[in-house]
Amino acid sequence: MSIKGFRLVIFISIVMFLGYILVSVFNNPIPDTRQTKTSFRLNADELFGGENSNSGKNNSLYIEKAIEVRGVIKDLTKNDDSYTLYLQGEGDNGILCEMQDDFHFNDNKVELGDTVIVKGVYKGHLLDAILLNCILVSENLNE
Amino acid sequence: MNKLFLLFLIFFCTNLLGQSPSEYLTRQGQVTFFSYTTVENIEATNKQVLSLFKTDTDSIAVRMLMRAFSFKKSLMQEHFNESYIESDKYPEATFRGRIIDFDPNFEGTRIFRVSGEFGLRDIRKLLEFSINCTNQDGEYSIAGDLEVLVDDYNIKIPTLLAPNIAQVIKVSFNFQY
Repeated sequence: MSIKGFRLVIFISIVMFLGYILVSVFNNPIPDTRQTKTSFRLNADELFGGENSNSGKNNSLYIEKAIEVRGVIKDLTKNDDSYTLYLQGEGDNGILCEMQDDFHFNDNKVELGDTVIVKGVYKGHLLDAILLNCILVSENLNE
Repeated sequence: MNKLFLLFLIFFCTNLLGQSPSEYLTRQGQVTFFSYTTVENIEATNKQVLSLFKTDTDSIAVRMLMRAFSFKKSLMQEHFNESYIESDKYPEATFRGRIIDFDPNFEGTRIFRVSGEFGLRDIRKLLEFSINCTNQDGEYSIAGDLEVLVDDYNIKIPTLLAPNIAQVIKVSFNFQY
């Protein structure tokens, strides 16, 4: 092969490699929470006041961070194909934990009143704190 | 005297129980937006939308966290929050409106017009759109869709990415109260 031909092959290879990297970056799915490092571990009420907590609207510290929350299941809902665990918070406010797509109630023996640890990405507060892409870290801690 | 008080209490409680509630709240309303272009289709859903519906004042209020929209691709989600919406500065979108000619005694499903203000990035615009409102044994649900113009909310899209994002975003919503 001539030097010119060799250079052409190298050039095309580099362009294809860069193209592959670009497409991979653009198509990266949302990361699995199992693979995400936990930034904070809290009890449910710590998201809602208390002397030592970063209460309510001042929770900017946790935004977009994976946090583990320990709390009691107050409600379980299914919306289309996704499940949400509602953990007891403070008063009428709780923590809405929207589970990752691979979560199914049938595979996890969770019931109302169970104390669980949920890990998810904190998105902010409305009436309730909202965590997305959640996974169950521990179930049935009150057993 | 005690008997009279007891009778009054029974009468009061019976009246109270007989009244149907006039405020309906959902913490898990669903809002989805779609951007259709020839280059790329973008879709994201927020399933943790807060909404309050008051049948006595015909009013509806909605609050949603912009960060709670889930995308299929993480880079899209990052661009949406950091570059377009600037979710750190403007974390919420809101809607406050009234259902026009609402009849609180209707049963089944009816189409109503809603008029109100949609707020995004500290900009409020008046919108009017149709909804399907269902009342099934006192359980209300509201669903529908509307269109939002990107330019109305001062969303800056880089020239390079302009062909990827539609100028008119279709927004669908579904609230089960």
